[in-house]
Amino acid sequence: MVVVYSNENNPFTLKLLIAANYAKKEVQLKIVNSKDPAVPEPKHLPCLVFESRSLFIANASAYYLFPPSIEDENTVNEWLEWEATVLAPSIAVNFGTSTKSQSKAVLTNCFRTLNDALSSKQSISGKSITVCDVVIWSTLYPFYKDNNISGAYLVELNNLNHWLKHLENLPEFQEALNQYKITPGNAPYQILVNSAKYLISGDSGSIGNSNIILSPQHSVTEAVSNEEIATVRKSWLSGNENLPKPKEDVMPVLPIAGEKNILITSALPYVNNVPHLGNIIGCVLSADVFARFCRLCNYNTLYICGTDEYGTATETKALEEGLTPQQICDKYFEVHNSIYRWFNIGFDYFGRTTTPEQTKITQNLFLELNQNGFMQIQAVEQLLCEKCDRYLADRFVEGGCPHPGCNYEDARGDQCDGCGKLVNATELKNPRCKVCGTAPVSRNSSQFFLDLPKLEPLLYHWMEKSSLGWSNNARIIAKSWMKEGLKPRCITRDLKWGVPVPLDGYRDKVFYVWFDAPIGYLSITERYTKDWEKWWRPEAGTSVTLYQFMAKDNVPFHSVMFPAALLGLNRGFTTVSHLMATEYLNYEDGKFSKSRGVGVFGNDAQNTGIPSDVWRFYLLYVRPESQDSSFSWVDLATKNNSELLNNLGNFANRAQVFAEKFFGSTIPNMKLNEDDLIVLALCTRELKEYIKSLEKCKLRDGIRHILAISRHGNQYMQSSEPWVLIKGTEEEKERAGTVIGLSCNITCLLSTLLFPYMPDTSRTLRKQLNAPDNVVVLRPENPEIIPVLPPGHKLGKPSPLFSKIEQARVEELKKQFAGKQQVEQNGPATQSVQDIPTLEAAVAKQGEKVRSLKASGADKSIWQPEVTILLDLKKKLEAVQKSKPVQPNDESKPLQNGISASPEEIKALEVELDKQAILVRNLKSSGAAKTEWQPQVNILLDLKSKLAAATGTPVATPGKKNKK
Amino acid sequence: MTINTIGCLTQVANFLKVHPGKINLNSNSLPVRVANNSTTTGFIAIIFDLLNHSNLSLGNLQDKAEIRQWLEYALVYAINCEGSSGIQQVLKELNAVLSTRTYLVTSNVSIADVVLFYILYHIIANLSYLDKERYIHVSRWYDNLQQDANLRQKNKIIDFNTNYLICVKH
Repeated sequence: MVVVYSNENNPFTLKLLIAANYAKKEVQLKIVNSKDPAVPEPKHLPCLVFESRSLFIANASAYYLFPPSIEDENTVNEWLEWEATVLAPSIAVNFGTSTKSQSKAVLTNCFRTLNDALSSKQSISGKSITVCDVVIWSTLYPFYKDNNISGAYLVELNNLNHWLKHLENLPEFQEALNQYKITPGNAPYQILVNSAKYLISGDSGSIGNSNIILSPQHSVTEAVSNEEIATVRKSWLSGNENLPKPKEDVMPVLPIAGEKNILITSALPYVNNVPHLGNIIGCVLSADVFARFCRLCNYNTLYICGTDEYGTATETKALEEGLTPQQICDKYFEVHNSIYRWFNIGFDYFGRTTTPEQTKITQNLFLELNQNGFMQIQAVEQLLCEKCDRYLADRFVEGGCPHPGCNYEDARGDQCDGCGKLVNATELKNPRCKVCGTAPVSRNSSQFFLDLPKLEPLLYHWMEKSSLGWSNNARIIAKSWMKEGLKPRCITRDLKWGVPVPLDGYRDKVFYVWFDAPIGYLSITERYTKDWEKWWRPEAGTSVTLYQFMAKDNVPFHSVMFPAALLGLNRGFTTVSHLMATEYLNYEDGKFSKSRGVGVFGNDAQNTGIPSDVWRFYLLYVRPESQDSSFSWVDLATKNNSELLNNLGNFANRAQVFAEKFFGSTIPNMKLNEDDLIVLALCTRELKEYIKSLEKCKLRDGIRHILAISRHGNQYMQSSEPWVLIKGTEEEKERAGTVIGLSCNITCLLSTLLFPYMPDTSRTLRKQLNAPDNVVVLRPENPEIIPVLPPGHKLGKPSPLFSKIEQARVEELKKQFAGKQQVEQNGPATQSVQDIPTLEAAVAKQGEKVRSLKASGADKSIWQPEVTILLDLKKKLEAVQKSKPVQPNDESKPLQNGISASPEEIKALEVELDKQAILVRNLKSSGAAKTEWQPQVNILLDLKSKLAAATGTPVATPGKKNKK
Repeated sequence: MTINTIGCLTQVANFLKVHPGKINLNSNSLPVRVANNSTTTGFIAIIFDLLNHSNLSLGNLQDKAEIRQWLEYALVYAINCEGSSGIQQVLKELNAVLSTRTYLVTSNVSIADVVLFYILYHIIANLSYLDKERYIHVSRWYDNLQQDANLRQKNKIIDFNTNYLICVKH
């Protein structure tokens, strides 16, 4: 029995029915929808099912039912393939979807091809009707039957018209059409697109960009082994005697020989960008969680960070805001500092790069590198503005675009916004200084280059060893740089805002940001302690492990440039052994954008009323660890309500409230039975995994294990039913006590594990439990659960830890941070004026990023999304610029004079003036007497003053010239 | 796509130990193979042509029909999936089909498996571990296929190491 599964009105089903008619095979037609369980995978329709096999490709089915003769085989194969790859997708997409990506020309071409093939033939393949006629005809049928859409295509294609009609009247075709209804027009193609599941092109991006956000794992619980039970019993019975004490706070923290010494940095945020959520999770927050975890493990931990303050961007910003660069830095440093403080980022020291220490260390390192022979000097052609007395950074020069065919006048020194091509600043036509407008002169200026090729072998061997502990993306990016081969990198610039080069003849130059920024880690440590070298150049016998956190765009500097410089010094500097790079965090499937007001920025977060701990939790929950992830308000609310409120918060509160109500806020006696030991064993498993995850900086997994513990706890409460037991016999009451006591102890464990992620919540919970200070410690080498709250321990006052985020609030917030698009429609003028510099800066920054990515030899899939962002930004800038320049020209001048004149009036005045001038000149040159020409001159002068008033500018007097 | 088609055909020819001949694209961008003084047009036709000159059996009529189906699938879907949703769709469909079978057609390696192996190589190679886990049946099928050095040819072994996998709830 052969069965055809099909939905209704699907033109491909005709292929099967007609083919079956030709083959004289009986088929049973079953009308289903594609979700019907009877339809075999991959659930394309129509589907032919026979002898426990299935064919979901209509052409293969038709071919199987109605195979061609051997001599026709090749021709038929060719036409079938053409139908499958060209004709059917084009016609389906063109008539069945709203995307008109298939141009009319493609289809016209198809029909012409068919028409030619049918010249003087009754069928496409030659002598008789074959399966390719059936297939092509079926595909065309709904189109051909609707004159409105086919008329324009089919005129003059007589062969094709004739063939279409001829086949329609054949009995095999008629029978199929009677059996199965196909409506003329677009509808069947819409159905076809859906049932054949054509891939509609037009969505860009690769699979790596898709957002796969894991929900916490609800793995099937594996049976607990006897060994595990024995271990947890032993731990529990050992009591809280052998619990280590947390380290006393010392200031400053210094590495100690024989102990674990962890140095943690997060990428220095650039000072004049307000950090958004993506920046926060990418570096400072991730590093903070890890630092807190290390402190929890009693490691000697130093976490430092600071703002990166030197460079052109600061100078630009200073010009914009009319402040000095230092003032800009001071202003924005405070912005950063307060944001991070609100997010509870526990730096040991948060410094900045504009310090004397930075200057000293940078200069020393440079001199040593120079002495070691890793510096070279090369001449670089640069533009000098003589009026401003400075060399112009690329974005400070404007001029005509040098690319042929593009006459854009305002191309910038790095890129032309007219044609989008990259520009060499020295090639601009009529270049001018962006600040003062004078033409700069081209000068050769000598710059220092870090000789990376010379350092390459050192770096290569270092990377082989060190990169084992790096995150996967960091390793890939670094390897791709090495593979490209390293080139000398320019490390100095003719700028003013930076660390000056300490060599005669070069003192007016400064170091380029990428060279001096990572040195900030050293200088900031020096600000923290004068013994900074103990961290950065540890003594023999002391080992310091360096963890550096950053987003992936920072990887080249931390994996190649900075280590190369440190290796070149050969002075035993600490180099990174754990380079932890994150991918990007998107905002609601788009990008964060300061200029468009899209997304949540550091300073916005505190105004939402959502506690910083919840922000931390959610950001870590969606941490873009292995691929880009998205921030979503709905998801934030869901995770808050389901995980924090209903799972974690519920469990933590439940046991305490119960203890308060029935046991006078005291931990009751606990006599553990099998059930209790099982739940302890399950929690111990999660605890071990938690420690493993965090040691590998898999911060996202860590949260999952915390939530799993409270989930075990909830299940344990639910199945033990202490609220029933408490009303029972003495024995049962004692049992209820055990359950509550154990639950409180698990809650206490949670308070410790939460500490890296949600420090406030952890503190509150400990206070509620009245837990001793020594619980804030983990033993990574031997994680176990012990009764830290022994029977008789007095508890504090329980209160709910989390509150619900309502749907309505989510909608509000979503709207608030969706961007200024709505505002833009109301006041485009103000918006655009404000936006140009920001947009320009954004374009420049993005351009830089794309270039460095491309230069890094990264894969297309890595830089393509960045290019898309760049083009998008440019479009916006262009739109804004177009709307802008009209008003100042038209409005400002009349305003100056208080008189407004239309262009027509001005034109008329000018014409009159010219006439009068000619009259005066002719009179004068004819030698007429003054009395004769004087009145005419008066009229002329009068006209001139009128014109001057109308245009607001004095007009040169032609008369005067004549006198001279 | 064009490079993909020709590259795939060449690899299939090498796998079958048949001389690939000259393969080019015609004006309709269908591949054309010229070998032994005969011309074959079309991806599917060329593959059948190569098969006829090789030792690999085509199986019975039903097998042949299924093979034809997968070749067209490869051509219309797999070779064209560029965007994320396209790739996801193809992987999802294959995963569903492979959840109940070892190979695409019959219980042995067929040309359908081979062709999709070459076409999907770059997609599979660039999958994250998470996605490899998500399309676990595709991963198993692919990993199994790549163990055959003759089939794999010069392609590097793709790592399906599951040590670092984060479990996804299916």
